[in-house]
Amino acid sequence: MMGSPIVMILLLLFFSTVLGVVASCYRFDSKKEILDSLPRRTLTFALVVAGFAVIAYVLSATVLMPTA
Amino acid sequence: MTTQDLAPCESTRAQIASTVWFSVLIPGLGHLLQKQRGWALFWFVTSQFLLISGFYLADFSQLDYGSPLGIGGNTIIYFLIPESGNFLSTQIFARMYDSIESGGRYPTEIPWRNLGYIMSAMSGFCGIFSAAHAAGMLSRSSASSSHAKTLLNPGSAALLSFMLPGLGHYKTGRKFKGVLLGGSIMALFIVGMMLGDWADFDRQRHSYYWVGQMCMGGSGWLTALMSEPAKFTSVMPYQDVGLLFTTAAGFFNIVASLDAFHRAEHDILILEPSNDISE
Repeated sequence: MMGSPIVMILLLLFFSTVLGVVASCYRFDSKKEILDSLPRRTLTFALVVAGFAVIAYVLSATVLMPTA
Repeated sequence: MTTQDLAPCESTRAQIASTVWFSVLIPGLGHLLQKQRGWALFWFVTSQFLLISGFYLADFSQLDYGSPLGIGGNTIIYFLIPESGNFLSTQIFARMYDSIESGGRYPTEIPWRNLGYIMSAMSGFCGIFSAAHAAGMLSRSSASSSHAKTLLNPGSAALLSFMLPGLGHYKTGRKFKGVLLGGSIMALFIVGMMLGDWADFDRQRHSYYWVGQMCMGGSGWLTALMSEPAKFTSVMPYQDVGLLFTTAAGFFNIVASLDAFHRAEHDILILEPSNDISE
């Protein structure tokens, strides 16, 4: 069953934020350093996953489509 | 030297490495080698009680989720996670008993199966954290500063963070970090369970994801117990996402535990006169 793309994007952002928190907390110990590095880590992960999703979608709709 | 470079001295590191190996082999053995008989007895009895009770309650059906690894038909080790954290006892039981769903019985016919799985898994984690506790004791006892000896054992900090995400950080004075880390991991786990309708925490359904979910520690074990009666009533659109979230939350909790150990050990090492970081 396919979920809504909007919900999937929101879930990806949520997961990316938690991953960003864990990565930043593992790297740094002070509140300022953690909060400063959090947006960059969150966005990097979300964009990389979204990029892979776009590549997978394009491939599945073109060369990997069984009926193409 | 920066704070990132701090590490125990060479001889202490060698002692820690051997203590960890002995503790995973038999929980409590690492403490016994340090002449900590009380702690040795505590870790040994707790881990063996959990393993034996868990195996009996689930009628040894845990063995269906592992596999023998060896060369030329000779089994060298039985690969069963997370029970293998209590290594030697798990290997002995795997050679003494056989399962294949407990002699062909349908799994639901074993009434205490879920509790048995949780208890035997707890035993494995007990073995791993007995190693962390023994290693932390060595780090603390090797410190020359008297103040360092009063600080929280790094192994205890790791165990606290494992049982409740962020608690180890909170107890070592990192309140913001503890709340942020703990709150984030717990939120990920709870959202994941909600997406799976609280019914996707089952060793039989997906045994490897289950190991990740069990890494949530105390909160995960409680959820596993309470959600046992829950069953799927329909196909959930985000069920797979939920499974990914809960498993990832467990692995993030392990990262948080490692960080709690590292930070608590850092608090001890920074007090050493030889670790002057002002240069």
